[in-house]
Amino acid sequence: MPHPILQRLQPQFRDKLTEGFLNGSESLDLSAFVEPADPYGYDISPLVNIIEFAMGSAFSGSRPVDSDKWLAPRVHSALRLTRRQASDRGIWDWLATGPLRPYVRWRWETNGNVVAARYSSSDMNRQAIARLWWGAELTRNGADYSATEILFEVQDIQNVWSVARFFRNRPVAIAALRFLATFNGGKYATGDQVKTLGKAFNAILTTTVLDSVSAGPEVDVTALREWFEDEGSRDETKWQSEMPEGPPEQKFDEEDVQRVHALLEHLVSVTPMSQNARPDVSSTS
Amino acid sequence: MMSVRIFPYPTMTGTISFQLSNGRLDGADWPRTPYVPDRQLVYLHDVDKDDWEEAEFEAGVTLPAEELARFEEDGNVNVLLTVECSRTLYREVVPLHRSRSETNRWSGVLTVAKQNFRGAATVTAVVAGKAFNRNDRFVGRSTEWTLQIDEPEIRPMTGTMKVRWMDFERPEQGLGFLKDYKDHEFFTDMQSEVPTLYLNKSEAFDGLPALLDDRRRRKEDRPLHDAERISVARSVWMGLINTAIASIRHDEEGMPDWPLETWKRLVLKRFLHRVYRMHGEDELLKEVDEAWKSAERSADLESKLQLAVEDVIGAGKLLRRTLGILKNRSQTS
Repeated sequence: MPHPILQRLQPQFRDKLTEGFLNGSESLDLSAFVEPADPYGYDISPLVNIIEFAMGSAFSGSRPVDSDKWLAPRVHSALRLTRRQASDRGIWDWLATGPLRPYVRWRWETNGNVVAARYSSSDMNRQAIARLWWGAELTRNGADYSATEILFEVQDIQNVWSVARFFRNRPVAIAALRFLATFNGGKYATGDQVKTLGKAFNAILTTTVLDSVSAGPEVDVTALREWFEDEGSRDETKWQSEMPEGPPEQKFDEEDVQRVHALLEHLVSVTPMSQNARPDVSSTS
Repeated sequence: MMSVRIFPYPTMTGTISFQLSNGRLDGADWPRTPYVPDRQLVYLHDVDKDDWEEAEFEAGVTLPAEELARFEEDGNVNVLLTVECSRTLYREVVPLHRSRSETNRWSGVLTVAKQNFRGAATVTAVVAGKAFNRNDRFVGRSTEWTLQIDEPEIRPMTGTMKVRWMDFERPEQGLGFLKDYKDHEFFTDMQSEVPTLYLNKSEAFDGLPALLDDRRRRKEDRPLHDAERISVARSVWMGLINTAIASIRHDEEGMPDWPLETWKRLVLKRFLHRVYRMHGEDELLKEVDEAWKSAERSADLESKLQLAVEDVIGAGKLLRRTLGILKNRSQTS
């Protein structure tokens, strides 16, 4: 059987999404809208296989939402794209309506329906596959995906923090995630705390140049290219039991993260949080 | 009312001058200059080399000398470049080095790897300093430069969009969707990356190319030519505007943000400035967003947008010309 090859969908297919498709009662022939994707001829079987493993084995007895933090690093490592390639909405449209449609239904079905945005959306936080890939891309530290798990642990972190512009600065994203993960004496911040702190952090950034606090490293184009071409490390069978490794770019300076952490601690000291106060601030420092 | 952000401490007054110049493409001289004269605009999609991987620019920032001295009395001043691309969620910080001879000047090299960008990117010089006993306070910023990485969906300088003639009954490969509109004279594709106006040259519309083309025409042909062009342009622009407004994004608090696609931002800015002439950009976005959600105000907004479109396409002038021709015709008959 030939390997499935990455394709893209022309945007005009969106007019054809029917209620029947969204409630799973009918399939659609979208072949008229399919065209080659960049990268050309890219084998997506590692991606399809690891997602099938998540649905059929790893999370078959769990809530589908619990699979997000496990799948995000694996989707990113199985689908090795540059940001330019990943910004093509057509490939996410094709993946979600084509080979990964069973996953989209498994993860996002409510009362028999899946909202159209899970198949096709310009919002990377909404589209079912893109959200996993971009979540990992924005929060990896070189090859290390450990912060990605934090992002997918609390829904409000995705909704409030990951959509903010400051989250595009990776050391800031990592510092924020670690901070929120240990906010309550080593435990996660609550949803209300996540929202309050998100607002306060955005406010403080009107007077603080975050890029001056923590610049982050340059992109290592050579390391990325080698990773894209390293087919040997794209072995999804290993990832059934272990975390994959991302692109071997240099990790950023821990001092960068600490400087943002100090700013976040300052933020807590000046933010009224009477309803959401953490029980023991000192235990997180 | 222009948008002015007020800071609880003094910020830098005067001009923070930021220039991009010279540079190279893939380690060699530019095949063709990417700089658009008199604009802070770089056309990287139009350098006679499509498959380039890396572009380099020399960046220079000059601060007002007296203001700089004032801020340095309190502590260090840091100058850096911020590069952002909304399509790829990319943000990069480029550190700059201070000149020893011209102490109010910073410079550095901006490297643009194409694989990190799509559409357009913006580059801004930002100045951080000490205020209220804290470092890294925002002190000032330059006006931004735009790097156009891919062909712009709507040309920023002229506001024109891509127009193609196509036989809707037998469209070329990849445009099969046009068959669904074979009974219409035109179709505006607003879903693709580059919005395009397709004009139908099928047999069913024999004569339409001759009617709409740009050649000089006889006076008696003009009324129909002008009327048809205006009708198409009016409909297309209203479609683009309404699509762009519907694409305004919102954060968790419901605050509006500009659409992701460059063409939608350009269309909104171009037309909304005509509707809300005294508003700054942030207020403009908020105003249109609120108006769009209100039945009463959205009707008023649509009316004003129609007038703005009429102005842009010159409908009034063309109508007056047509009326003049018809008047002369009736007097001579």
